[in-house]
Amino acid sequence: MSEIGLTVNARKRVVNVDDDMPLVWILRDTLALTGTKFGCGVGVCGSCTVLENGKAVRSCQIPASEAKERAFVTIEGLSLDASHPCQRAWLEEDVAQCGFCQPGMILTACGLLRDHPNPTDEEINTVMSDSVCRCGTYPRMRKAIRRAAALLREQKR
Amino acid sequence: MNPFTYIKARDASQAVSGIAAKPQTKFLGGGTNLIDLMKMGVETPAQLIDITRLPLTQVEELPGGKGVRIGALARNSDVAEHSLIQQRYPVLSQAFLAGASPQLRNMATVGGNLLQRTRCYYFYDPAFPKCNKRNPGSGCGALEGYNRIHAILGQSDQCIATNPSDMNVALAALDAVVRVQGPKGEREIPIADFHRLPGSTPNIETNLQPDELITAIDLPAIPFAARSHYLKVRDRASYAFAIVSVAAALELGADRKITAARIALGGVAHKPWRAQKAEKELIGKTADEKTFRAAAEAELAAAKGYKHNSFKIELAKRSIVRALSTLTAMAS
Amino acid sequence: MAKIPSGKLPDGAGWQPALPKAERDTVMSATIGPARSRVDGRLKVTGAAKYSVEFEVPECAYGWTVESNIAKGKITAIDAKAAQGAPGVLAVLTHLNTPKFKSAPKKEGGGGGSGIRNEERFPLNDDEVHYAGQYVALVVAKTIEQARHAASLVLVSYAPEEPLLTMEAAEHKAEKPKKNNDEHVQIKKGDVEAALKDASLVKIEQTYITPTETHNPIEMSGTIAVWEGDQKLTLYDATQFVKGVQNILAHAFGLELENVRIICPFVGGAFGCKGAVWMHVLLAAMGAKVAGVPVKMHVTRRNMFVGAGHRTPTRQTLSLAATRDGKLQAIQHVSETLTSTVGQFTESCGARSTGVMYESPAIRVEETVFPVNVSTPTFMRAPGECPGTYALECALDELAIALKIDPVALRLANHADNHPIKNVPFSAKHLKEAYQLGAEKFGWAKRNPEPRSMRDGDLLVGWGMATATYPAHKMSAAAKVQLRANNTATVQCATHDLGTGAYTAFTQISSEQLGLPFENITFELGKSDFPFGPVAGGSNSTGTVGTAIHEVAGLLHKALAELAVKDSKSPLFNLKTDDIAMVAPGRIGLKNDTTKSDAYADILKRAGKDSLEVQSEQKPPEENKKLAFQSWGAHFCEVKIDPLLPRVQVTRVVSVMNCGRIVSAKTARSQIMGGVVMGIGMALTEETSYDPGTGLPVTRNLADYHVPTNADVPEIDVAFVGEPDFAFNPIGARGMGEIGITGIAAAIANAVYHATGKRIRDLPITQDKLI
Repeated sequence: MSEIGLTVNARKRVVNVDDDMPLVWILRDTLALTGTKFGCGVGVCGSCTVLENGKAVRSCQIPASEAKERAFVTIEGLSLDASHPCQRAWLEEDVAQCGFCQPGMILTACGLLRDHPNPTDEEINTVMSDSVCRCGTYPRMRKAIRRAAALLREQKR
Repeated sequence: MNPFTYIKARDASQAVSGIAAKPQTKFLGGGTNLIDLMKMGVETPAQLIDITRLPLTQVEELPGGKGVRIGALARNSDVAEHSLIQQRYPVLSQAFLAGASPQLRNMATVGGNLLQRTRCYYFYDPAFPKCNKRNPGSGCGALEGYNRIHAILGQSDQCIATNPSDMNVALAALDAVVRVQGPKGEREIPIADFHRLPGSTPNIETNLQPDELITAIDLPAIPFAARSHYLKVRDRASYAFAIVSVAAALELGADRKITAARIALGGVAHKPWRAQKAEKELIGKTADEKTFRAAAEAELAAAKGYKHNSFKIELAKRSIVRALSTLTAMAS
Repeated sequence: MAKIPSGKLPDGAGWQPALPKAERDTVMSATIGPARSRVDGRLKVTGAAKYSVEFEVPECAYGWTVESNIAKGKITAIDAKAAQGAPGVLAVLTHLNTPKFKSAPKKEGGGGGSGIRNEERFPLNDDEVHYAGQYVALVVAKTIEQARHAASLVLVSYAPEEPLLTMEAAEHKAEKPKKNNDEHVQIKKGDVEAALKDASLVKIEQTYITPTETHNPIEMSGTIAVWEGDQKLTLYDATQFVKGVQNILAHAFGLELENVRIICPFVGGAFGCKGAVWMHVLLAAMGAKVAGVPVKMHVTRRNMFVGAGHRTPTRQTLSLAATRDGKLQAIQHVSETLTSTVGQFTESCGARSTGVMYESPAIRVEETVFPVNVSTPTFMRAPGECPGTYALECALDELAIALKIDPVALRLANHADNHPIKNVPFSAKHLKEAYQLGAEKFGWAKRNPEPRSMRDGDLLVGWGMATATYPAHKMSAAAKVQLRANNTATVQCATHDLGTGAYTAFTQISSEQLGLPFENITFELGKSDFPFGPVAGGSNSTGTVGTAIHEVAGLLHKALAELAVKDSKSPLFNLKTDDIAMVAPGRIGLKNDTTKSDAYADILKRAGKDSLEVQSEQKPPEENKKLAFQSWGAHFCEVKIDPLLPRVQVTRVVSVMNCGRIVSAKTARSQIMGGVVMGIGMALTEETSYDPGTGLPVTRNLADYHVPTNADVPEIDVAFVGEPDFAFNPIGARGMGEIGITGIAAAIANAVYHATGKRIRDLPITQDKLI
C-alpha cells in the first residue's frame, strides 16, 4: 500500500492503495466515482475511459503507481447536469440503452472531437470502434457525435 | 497480481543497472501488454522499473541521409502521425493505425511493441496446462487444440504461436535495426535477428538479453518505401488482431518491371515473416496479378496448416496479391 | 443449385405492388403519447445511474474465485495455507469448510415466481467437478488485488475423469424432452414422411450449425452481499429477476422471505445471462456470512464465459417439400443441442418458430438434448427462436432458389393466417404488411435474383431477407400506486430495466392508465420490496407489468370513487362506485354522463388526505384459447464482399416489426436495432470456441470473442406495422426485446449467398469459409 496523490476532476486527492491497483478501482471504489465503468479490465471494451489533458485513456491500464501526480477527468467531471455538449447531444439522440458503456463512449467522443472538431464518418468509425456497446447504440451514437460537433462549434463562436 | 516493487528510472544506465541488480525485473513502458499479462498471472515480475521518463521519445532524421531513428519510448500514435514516417515509410504509419485501438496506441511504446507477446490462448491463460512458452516442457496446447489463429510458417512441434504485432511486420519489411543498451554498452540487432523462431525454445522469443534495454529503432533510407502499404486482414471491420497481414513496398522500373520489392507477413509465424522467396520471384518480372500470385505461391510453398488454420495459406497468398496490386495501382 | 435466369423475376414470382399509403398508415401501431426520450437518460450520461456493485457499503471486502481446470472428476486435496496467510485475507472457502446451503425452492414451470436456477447445484458443497471453470474455492480479502493474489495461491489437486464434451461423446445420454417451460416441443402434424418421399415435390434438406455464443453485456455480473445479524440479508445484485433471487437466497440460507432484500435499480445489459441465480451470487452471500463482513463479487469477463450461461451450440436439419408453385407440403425441423450435466436448460429451436411460421399440411419438430461437461447454458436473446429462425429461414431461401420463386413471394404464398398446429387465428397479425413495407423501403423490387449478379465496383453485393418471429408471452405481476394531492403519483413494481426502456415505457403506461401527466409520474423498479414483477425475459415485461399497472389504476379509481360517493360536496355523492371510472385525465366520473365528474386532487383534499395508496394482487394471467398470439417481422439486408478477401460487411438493414402496440416509440426502435446488431454478430463474428482437450473456452475475452463494433454496424431502418393487440392484454403490447434478433442471421446468410453463390450453413460466416 502507498499514498498516492492525483488530481481528479480538478480536485487534488490522496489515496492509500495497493501499487498495482488500476486507476479504475481508485476512481470507483476509493473515490466513489462510479461513472467510470469496469467492463473487461484489459483495455478492450472502453467503458473505463477517462480523459487526461483532453485525450481519452483507459483507466484499467494505469496502475496506481503510474497514476501518481497525473490529472484525470471522469464523466462526473464533464458535468453533473448533462450540460456538456457531448452529454446534451447524447440525450437529444436518446443514445443510451443500458447505459453502462455510455460514460466511456461519451469521453471517447470528447477525445475524438478535440482532435477532429468536424469528424468524417471514417474518423468516427475508427475512433469509436475502440469502445464496445452490446446494446447496439452505434447508429445513434454516430448521430450524437455529429450533433455534439455542431454544438461545440456553436459554443466556440 | 503478484506483489512487486516499483521504481522509476532517471536514465538509461540507471535502468540497465537496476535490471541487472535484481532478478525477475521487467521494464515498464506503456504497460498495455505487460500489465495484462501480470493480471492473468502469466508474467510475475518481482520488480518493475518504470522507464517512461527516459528521454527516448524522439523521432528524428539520422545524419547523412541514413534514415530515421525512433526512440524506444515514442508512443505508437505519435510515430504513426509523424510526418517523416508518413512520407518515407507509410507502411509503418499504416501498420500502427491498423494496430490496437486509438487509446491503446496513445499508451503503447514502440519498444514495448517489439516485445509484444503472442495472443495464443494457451499461452495467455494459465488455466491451460500445456504451453512450452509459459512453462517449458509442458507441451503445446494449440497443436491438438483450437488453432485458428496460429502459425503456418516456421513453426515447430514445440510451439505454433504467432507474433501479434502489426508494427513488427512493417519493421521487417523495412530492414529496421534495433538499438539496445546493456551492461557492456550499446549494440545493434537487425530486425531479422531480433525475433526468433520457436524451435525447441519457444520461451525465448527474442535475442535481446534480459539485462538489455531497447533504446531506439533505426529505419534505413529506402527511397522506394515512400510507396509502401500495410494490409491487415481480420475477422471484423476494425479492432481485431490480424489473421494475416502484409507489409510491402515495390520499386517499378520501365514497362512496369519490378526492380526491388520488400514483403513481410504477419499473423503467420512466430516472428514477423520476411517473404524473401516471394521478393526474389518478383525481381525482373512485370507487375501484374500473375506475377504476384506466382510470388505468393513460392513463399507459401513451405506452409503447413493445422485443423483450424489451413485457410491462412490461401488467405496469405491472396493478401500478398492484394497488397502488391494496391501498390501497383498507386504507381500508375 | 438451380440456375435462375438473370435479369428479371420468373413469371408469377415477382414482387407485388405495395399497399396504398393511406391503408398502410392505418395499420401502423399507435403509441402512447408523444415519443419520449428515456427518463433515465440524464442519469446515464452523467454517470449517476447506480448499477449493483456500485452501491457504497462500508467495510466491504472482496471475493475472488478459483476455478477448476478440469472438466470432470473429483477434488482430492486443496492447499489453502498460503492463501490464508496472504495479506488482507479474511477467509478462504472450499468444499472442505463451507457450510451447507439449506434448500432450493421447488421448480415452477413457465417462468413462475420461484426463481431460476439453470445450474441446479450449490457451490462448494461437494468435491465433484462437472465442468471446466467451475468455482472450487472463494477467497475473501480486504482489497480486490489482495483477493486476486491470494486466489492465485490456492492449490487444488484433482482426480480427473474422462469428460463428455461433444454430442458424439454424449450420444448415449441423449434425451428428447417432452416440454420446455410447459410448452410441447416435439410436434407432429400430418404425414411428413409421405410428403418428403413424394417425387412430384421439390425438396430441400440441409443441416445448419450455430456455435456457442456468449451474452457479454458490458456490465459483468456482480453482487454485494450484506448481512445484518444472521437472519437478514441484503444483496445488491445485477439481475433480471429480483424476486427470483430473493426466493432462492431465502431458501438457500433458511431465511424468512421478507428478511432477504434484493436491490437492482439499473442493469448494464443482460440479454438473458442475469435471469438465473448463478453460483457467484450464492458465494457472495456465503463468503459474507463466513467472513463476517459485506462482500463484493465481480464476475470477471473471463468467468462470464463459464459462470453466467451462454447460448448452447445447435445442429439443425431442415427438410422442406413444396409443390412447384411454391406451396409447402411438409416442414421438418430436427434439432440437436447441448446442455450441462448439472442443469436442464434446453434451447428449443423449432417449436415456436417452425411450429408457427408457415401453413403446411405436415409439420414435424423434434429436438434432442445432449448433456455434456460444459458449464450450463441459459436463455440468450430469443432462446430457441433465434437459432431456429436462422435454420428455417435459410432453408426457405434455398427452397425459393430451387423453385425459382422470389423469397418474399414464397413466404407470402405460405403465410399462416391460423396457427398451423393449434388451428386458431392469430391475433392482430400483420406479417404481410411487414413484408410489403420492408420490401418497399429496401427497394427489393430492384433485386436481380441471380447470385453474383450485383456489384458495387469490385465488391460483390448481396440482398437477402428473412422472417422474424417471437411468441407473445405473459406472466403475472402486481403493482402499487401512491397518488398524492398535488396530482403526482409513484408507481412501484419489482420489475427491471436492462436498458430496455422499462422506466420510460412504464412511466408512459402509468401516465395513460392513471390519467396523470407523464412528468407527474415516478416509476420505481428493481427492489424486491415492491409488488411482484416476473423475470425480465421472454419479452414479457411491457405487457405483464403494463397489465398490472392497468389493474392498479382501476383500483385507484375505485378507491377515489369510494371517497367521492361518501362526500356530500362531490358531484359524485351517493352514486354507485360501479358506474364510475376515469373519464378524463385526472378525473373520475359517471361512465354514461361525463358531466358528473370530480378531480382526483379535489377528492383527496376534501377527504383531508395527502395521499392515497392501493396495490393490485398478483394473479395468473388470463388465457385466451380462441386466438394465438405471436409477434412477426421481416428483415431485409444488404452485404458487400470483396471477392478476394471475403470479409462480409453488412451495409444496410431494413427491419419492419409487428408487435402489437408500440408503447414507447424511441425505446422500441432501439430494442429492435439492438437485436439486429447482436444478430450481425451472430451471423458474422461471434463464437465461443472450446479447447477440445480440457473443455475450457479459449475465446474468453472481448479481444478474442468478437462482438460487433461501431464499424460493423450500418444504419438500421426500423419500422412498425399493426394495431394494438388488445385481445392479448389491456395494453395491447406483445413485447419487443427478442424479436429483433430472430431471422436476421438468416437474412445475412441469404444475402451472402446472393452475393457470392456460396451457401454457408455454419455460423459465424467468417472469411475462411468463403475463400
